[in-house]
Amino acid sequence: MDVQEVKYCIDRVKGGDKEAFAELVNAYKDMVYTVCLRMLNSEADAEEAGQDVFVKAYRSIGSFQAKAKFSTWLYRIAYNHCISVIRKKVKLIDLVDDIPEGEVDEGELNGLESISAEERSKYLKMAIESLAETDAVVVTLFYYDELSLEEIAAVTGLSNSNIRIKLHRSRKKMYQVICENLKSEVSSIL
Amino acid sequence: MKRDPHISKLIKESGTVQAPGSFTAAVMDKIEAIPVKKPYKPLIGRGGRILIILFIAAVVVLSIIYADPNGELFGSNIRMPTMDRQLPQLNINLEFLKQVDISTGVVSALVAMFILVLSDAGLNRRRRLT
Repeated sequence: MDVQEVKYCIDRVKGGDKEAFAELVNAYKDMVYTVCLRMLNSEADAEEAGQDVFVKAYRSIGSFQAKAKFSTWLYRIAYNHCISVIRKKVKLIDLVDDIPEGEVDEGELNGLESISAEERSKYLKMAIESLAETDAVVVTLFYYDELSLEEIAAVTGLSNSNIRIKLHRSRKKMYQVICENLKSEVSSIL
Repeated sequence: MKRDPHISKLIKESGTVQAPGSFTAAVMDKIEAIPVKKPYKPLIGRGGRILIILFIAAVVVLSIIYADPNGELFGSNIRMPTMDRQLPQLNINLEFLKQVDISTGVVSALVAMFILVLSDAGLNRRRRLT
């Protein structure tokens, strides 16, 4: 859905057209669900949270200003909602301190080319699951949705430098997890 | 900040996690369940408000024109601003108005009605904007 289509849909929703909102849900449900899943680490929780995010968005779409990107606005709702869900569960864990400081050899990742896409996806999932909730979201927004640091800052409320640190540490952590899994895969084959 | 090509490729390749099939329907069900707010309907319509404002404005203007030179409104104890009596007099015979006994209560009621009309109009405008 391009920017014009999104704007057209939003205008229709503001005019009371619920079907137009269903189109927006269809366009963004996977990304919102992914953000929720990254933060909550539970499919059931992510599904419920994702639905609540869209209901919140529907209720407050009247306040949406076209100056911002709709996706950024929606992700901010998702991020804040998940943070409140996590706080309710008293489960906010910051794994940043657990991340080893040692560098990882990027060359070791060349082994990824020799395995199937399915396997690579499995390793990626494991790597992302090893990250703290907020870090996983930052990585997803930066690498998948290709949001800029400023846009991620708008979604998460974190400073640009904090996001840089999170991305750097997340990258190292992900490399480490993927490399460990690749090594064990190779040793099991041998 | 540069994107790491390995991580970027991996994440792009894996894509997003697919939301469950019933996701959109579940969201729309929740939205349907939201109680519909009754649209605010002003007590007095647009035409009515204009008429009331015109009426009040006319009363104020006539009061100023027909106030006594010493500022008494129709012989009441309400002090009105006085005007220069050199202004051209209207040919309409409004002498009967001088017989009308406008008490402080009536003027207070008119002012209250004026404020009510303005606040009603303001509230209506605010609700339309949100």
